[in-house]
Amino acid sequence: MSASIYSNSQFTDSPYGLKLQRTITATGTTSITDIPAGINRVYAIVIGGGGAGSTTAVQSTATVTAATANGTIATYTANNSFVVGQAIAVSGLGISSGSSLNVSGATIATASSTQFTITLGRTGVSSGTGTANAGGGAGGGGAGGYSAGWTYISPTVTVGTGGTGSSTVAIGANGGVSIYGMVFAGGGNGASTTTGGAAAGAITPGNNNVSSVSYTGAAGVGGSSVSYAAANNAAGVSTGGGGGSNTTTGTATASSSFQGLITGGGGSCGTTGTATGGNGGTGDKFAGGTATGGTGAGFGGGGGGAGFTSAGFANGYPAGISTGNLNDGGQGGLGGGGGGAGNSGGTAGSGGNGVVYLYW
Amino acid sequence: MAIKYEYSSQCCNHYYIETRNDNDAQVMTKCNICGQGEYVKTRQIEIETIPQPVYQASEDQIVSVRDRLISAGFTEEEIEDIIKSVKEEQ
Repeated sequence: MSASIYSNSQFTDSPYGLKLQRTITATGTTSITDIPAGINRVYAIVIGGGGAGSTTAVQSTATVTAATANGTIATYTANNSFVVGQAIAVSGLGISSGSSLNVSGATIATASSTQFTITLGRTGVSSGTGTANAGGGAGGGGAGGYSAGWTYISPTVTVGTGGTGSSTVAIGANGGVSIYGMVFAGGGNGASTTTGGAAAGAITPGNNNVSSVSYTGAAGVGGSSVSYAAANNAAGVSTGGGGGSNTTTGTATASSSFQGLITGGGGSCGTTGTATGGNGGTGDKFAGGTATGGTGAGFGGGGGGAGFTSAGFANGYPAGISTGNLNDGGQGGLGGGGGGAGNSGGTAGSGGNGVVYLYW
Repeated sequence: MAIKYEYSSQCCNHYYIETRNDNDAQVMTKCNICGQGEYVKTRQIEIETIPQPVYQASEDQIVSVRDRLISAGFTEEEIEDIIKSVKEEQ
């Protein structure tokens, strides 16, 4: 028989000529007791679940009727529905005394139904009325970790569930850990409010951190450096989620995730103008989900990251849903892709579930 | 519900298994050994998901830890705070 592996698009490049004998995508811990007698060690590829994107508040506008600042805090009087952490821009206020209290790129520190505050190093009192626009984007979820190696056989296998995206304002949920025998991979980091989640390595990273162990025996690498387990907005084997756009007015596009073996989800943005989320990162094997933008609160969700066994979903397209809202983040692909961020009342994309391959 | 699907390839009878959540798509459809034929399902079995073990410290273990903390110089008040925080985390 002639070798035909090259004509099979699904052929998995079995390490060292081994044969792929088991694929496990069932999430949770299940038994695996059917490995033939005499097989005591196997080669395992283990991928953790992807992190979910985070969800921003609804983009909204309020009229500011008064404002004061004491050199540390600026307080704006306005009937509003803003929430803490939203990006805020204020324009149109006049100056009664001191400095102008019009701002852009600020973040809401406290909020009630009648006023909100921001940290501001100015002193002054406003005159007239102004307009406050709150928006800002959420981050995409980080990809699940990738790990591979020889292991003694185990009677159980655990596959991490992708973090579940939420429709309420929240950080994204982490993906679950996958493990078989001695080979394990962490779940991707759920995105923080605006920053993308970090990819997982062997250890699931904490919020706003990189994985402390990016691969068995390899320390984590922070910043924008390439790593087995990349930080948010960084490239690697497993890549981090894209950051959200903090622009509140005009046309804005959130960050896409970077290319890698398994990729994070794209960030989202909420603006009064044209809002386009970031794409899920392009995977080495599969495509990331693309983000379609448009004007208004019904747009701006990020695309899902590419998984190890399937592509990420576009914004508004969780798995199994043929049509969706384009302010929803896309789901990550099966095999650890991170979920795209939700925006303006949409639902964040869930991370893709993990997967385990066994060869002997 | 997790389901174990057993397959045999049409080309070289490669026996291959996928364990998937109900309704999840088949991951590998063509023989991954010779690349010629499709995998044909020969059997499917529902399998149980095993609960993750949850560690609960026994009272004896807490006493033992208390003795060690006393040996290390912790006060009774500090030890009670530690035990309280551990129980709250559980």
